[in-house]
Amino acid sequence: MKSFVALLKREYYQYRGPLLFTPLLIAGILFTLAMLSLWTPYRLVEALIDAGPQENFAQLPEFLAGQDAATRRDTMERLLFGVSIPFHIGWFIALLVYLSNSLYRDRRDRSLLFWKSLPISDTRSVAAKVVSASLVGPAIMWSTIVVIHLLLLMLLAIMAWRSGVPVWDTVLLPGNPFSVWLRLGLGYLLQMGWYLPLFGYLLLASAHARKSPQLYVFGPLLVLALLEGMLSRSIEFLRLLQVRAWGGPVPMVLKIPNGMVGFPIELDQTNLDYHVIHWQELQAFLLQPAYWLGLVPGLLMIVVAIRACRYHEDL
Amino acid sequence: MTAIVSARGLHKHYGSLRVLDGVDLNIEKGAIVGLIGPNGAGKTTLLKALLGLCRFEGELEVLGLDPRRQRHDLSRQICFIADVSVLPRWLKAGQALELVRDIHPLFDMDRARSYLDQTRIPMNKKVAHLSKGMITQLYLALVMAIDAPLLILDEPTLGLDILYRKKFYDHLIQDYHDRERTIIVTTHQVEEIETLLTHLLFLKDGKLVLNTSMASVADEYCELMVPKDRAQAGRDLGPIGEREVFGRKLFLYKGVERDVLGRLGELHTPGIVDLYLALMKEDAA
Repeated sequence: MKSFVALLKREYYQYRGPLLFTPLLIAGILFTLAMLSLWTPYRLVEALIDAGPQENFAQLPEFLAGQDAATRRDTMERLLFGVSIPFHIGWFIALLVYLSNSLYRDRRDRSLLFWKSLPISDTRSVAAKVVSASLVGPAIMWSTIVVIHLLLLMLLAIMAWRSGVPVWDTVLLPGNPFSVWLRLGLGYLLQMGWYLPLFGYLLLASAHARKSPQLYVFGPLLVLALLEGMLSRSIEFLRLLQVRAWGGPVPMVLKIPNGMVGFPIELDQTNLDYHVIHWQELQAFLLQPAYWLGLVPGLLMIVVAIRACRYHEDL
Repeated sequence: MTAIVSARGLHKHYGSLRVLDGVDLNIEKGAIVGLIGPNGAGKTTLLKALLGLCRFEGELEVLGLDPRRQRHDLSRQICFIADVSVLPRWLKAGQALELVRDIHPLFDMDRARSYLDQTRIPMNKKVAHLSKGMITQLYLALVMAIDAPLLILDEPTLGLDILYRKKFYDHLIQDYHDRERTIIVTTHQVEEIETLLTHLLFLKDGKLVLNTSMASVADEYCELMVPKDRAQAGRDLGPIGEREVFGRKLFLYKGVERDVLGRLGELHTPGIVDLYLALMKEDAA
């Protein structure tokens, strides 16, 4: 156990960029935007919530004060979940960078020889990467989101207090941050299961990459998509990738001036609200056959990646 | 004596290129073995085979374990040093100590700290920001603090200046005397390890062309220096090597009586470099 924790630390020390600095950077940008929206016409709330209130961040408490309890709760939940969306998109990109490099970079600079000289099995080494991607990284992101939520709630509470609006009933109680955090945490756990084939594929590409690992990641996918397009004039493979990348319980849709970033995916038996994680959606998602079926190729690709690590002839 | 390494018929090839070609080998406990050969001779591949880091054919036991099936158990008992450039550049000195302590059961933190206390390595600096000398000291502190019975060194002083190379080998020999270890070392700076070695292996084109103890070298091989006008007499005794030094001829013989040679000129015990040059040349011819 002690050595496995050491391997997790190694991942954290080596990949602090994607694991730590990405959520911190997004948090910094969001907090700056929140501050900006207090004194400028920039509308953070509208930017974060699709079909949200038109009021500026500073006027949000007053807007909430004029609404019934259900609307308050809905608006605040959408705001808190909306804040988390840039984190998810940033994390997804960081994940691609992290895992595609994770089994390649040590080979390129030959530092793998140093690690191979220590009693670390390839299985544990790869497992540490999977755990870092699926638990450590999301835990850091979740903690950062909690902090940014607290800061935003504090700002809103100050705004409410200055406007003479009841802080507790209007802002804090409808926000119900504990429930939001719990749903986000569970959502991440499920999302990481959904991403297991992605993890497996990235590790597989990284373990076999001889030059740019990104080429090994995207090259075969592009070739397969082109082949399918040329042979059967369909885009089913691309759609499959799209579902695997943007599907899942964690909202990945961000509103931009001329549309949406991200691709909402309709999955059977679920009616995902692409901005809020509802309890029933988590449950329904867990019952998706696609969720459980995806675990098998994910695990298989991880096993093949481990075997590829066993003997790296190019060391 | 107990065999630490026992190899029979080791073969390894990359496509049509044979890197190890039927290597038979026994290394006894407590030996300091120099594995010498030109670039591409198969030295690193042989070391990788011992460590279980590459596929090969043949029989091999290291510390009684099969490197192919028991690499993990084996890596607990082997300390392996490649050249110092393999230390991860993103790693801070303090983090390196912490990680090796948590990963290696035979790592002695106090010993590592006592090495590092004699240096000026800042614990919060990344390897990328340390001088090459400091990186060497850090690497040494890490590996010398691992109390492993077998130490494998692959070009450990590559790229270091002479001062650090000397320090490295001084530490190594001190450590060897402090603890009962077996050491296998490859290097191109052969003359620097000459006095350390107890055994010598020459590898060329994947084949062992010399496998002997240093004591046997003195018994079996002899150098004769003669004036040029007596060169033919020297050649008649069947030398395995011949070269010119300061206007005189230097011959290297294997298995020729010293009494016979002594009549022709000055006798010396050959150095590893002389032996290497002669044997590699002989083999090529």
